[in-house]
Amino acid sequence: MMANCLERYFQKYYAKCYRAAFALVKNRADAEDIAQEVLVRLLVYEPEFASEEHEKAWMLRTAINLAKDLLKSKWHNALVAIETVDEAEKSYLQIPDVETDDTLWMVLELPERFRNCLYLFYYEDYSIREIADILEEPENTVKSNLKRGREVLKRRLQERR
Amino acid sequence: MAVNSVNGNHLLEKIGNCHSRNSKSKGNAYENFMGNLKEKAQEKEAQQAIQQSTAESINALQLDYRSGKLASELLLQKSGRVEMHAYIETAVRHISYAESDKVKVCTVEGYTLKAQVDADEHMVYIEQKNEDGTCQAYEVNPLKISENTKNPIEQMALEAWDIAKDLHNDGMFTEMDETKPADASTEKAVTFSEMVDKFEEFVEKRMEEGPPKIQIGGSEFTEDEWERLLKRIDKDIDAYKEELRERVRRQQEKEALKKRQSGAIEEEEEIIPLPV
Repeated sequence: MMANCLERYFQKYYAKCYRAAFALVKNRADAEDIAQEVLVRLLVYEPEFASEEHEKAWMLRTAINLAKDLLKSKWHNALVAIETVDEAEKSYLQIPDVETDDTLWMVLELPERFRNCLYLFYYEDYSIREIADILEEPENTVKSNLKRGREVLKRRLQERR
Repeated sequence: MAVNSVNGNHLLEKIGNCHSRNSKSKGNAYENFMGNLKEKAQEKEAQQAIQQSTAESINALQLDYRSGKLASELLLQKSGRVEMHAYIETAVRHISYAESDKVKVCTVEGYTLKAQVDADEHMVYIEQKNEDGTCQAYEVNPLKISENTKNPIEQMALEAWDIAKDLHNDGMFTEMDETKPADASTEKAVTFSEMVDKFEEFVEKRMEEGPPKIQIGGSEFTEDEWERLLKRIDKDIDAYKEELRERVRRQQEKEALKKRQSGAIEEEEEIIPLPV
């Protein structure tokens, strides 16, 4: 049954999972692997979703967790140790309906706890409650991360100028 | 003493008193009189102003009854304390980025703006999502916005409106299109006068050159000439057919005569007896 729905899941979530993964791993190849792995896990585990919000949260949470796992792995740490987004990789992250500028790349260079909240809130248009579901954190933590992350971002932008 | 005469005397006394005053007292009375007039005029103006402000506040209250936010905006504008904005706050629809015509992410400022254009209503719906999770929505009339506005919501509405204009009718849409029905009469009048001029030119040309000629083969014919030509051809064909019939008839008569003559000879030959 899940196999029949795979196309629908692919169309609906592949790009979102790819972007969420890219925000963490910052390269196309790894982000694509993660997005595909999310769909594989969906087929393997066949989770039952209570609602569409639950479904979306599961998909993105899995993508973010897989990205975190990749970043934690020794192999990845040995190869990629920088927080900045490579110029060549920038063209592989295109967010629909949103005009991207340098601020996006600055957001992706923030510490992880701020980066996820800011990226999902501003660039993927998720509400604070949805972000709390995806990241499995309390809403107040998300709110404070958004505020602190914005302050850090503002400071970094001022320093750069 | 009659009542009329009393009144008359009284008036006379009054007039007499006035006449008896000196010029200085006359001048004072005039100044007092003018002063009173001015005071009355000022009072009247003040009353009118009060009435007007009351009427305005009633209007505002009526608007308040219909839509709360609009009334407060109008009152502030009338009082001159705050300049009126081209937008009013409205209910939040929670539109997605995909449903928006333009999205502006203000990460540093701590909010996002989503704009949805309603070209028919001349309205841009702007939704603001704040960092603390709250949302506000505004309906903005882009035609009331100054191009130099520094208000982020108005700027957003203008940008979204420009994008919608470019998309609509492949960039041919303008605000003036809305007023086309009003201009249609003048446009028709111009067209009509142009048509009359053209007709006049046509008549002049027709009178000079005669009816229009149509090229058929190597020559040109007017409709009348063509009709005459066809009639002549029909007549010639009829004459030719008549001639043919006449020829056939003569031929048949000749043949019949020949037959008749050869028949008579044969009869004579039959009558003559053979010699024994």
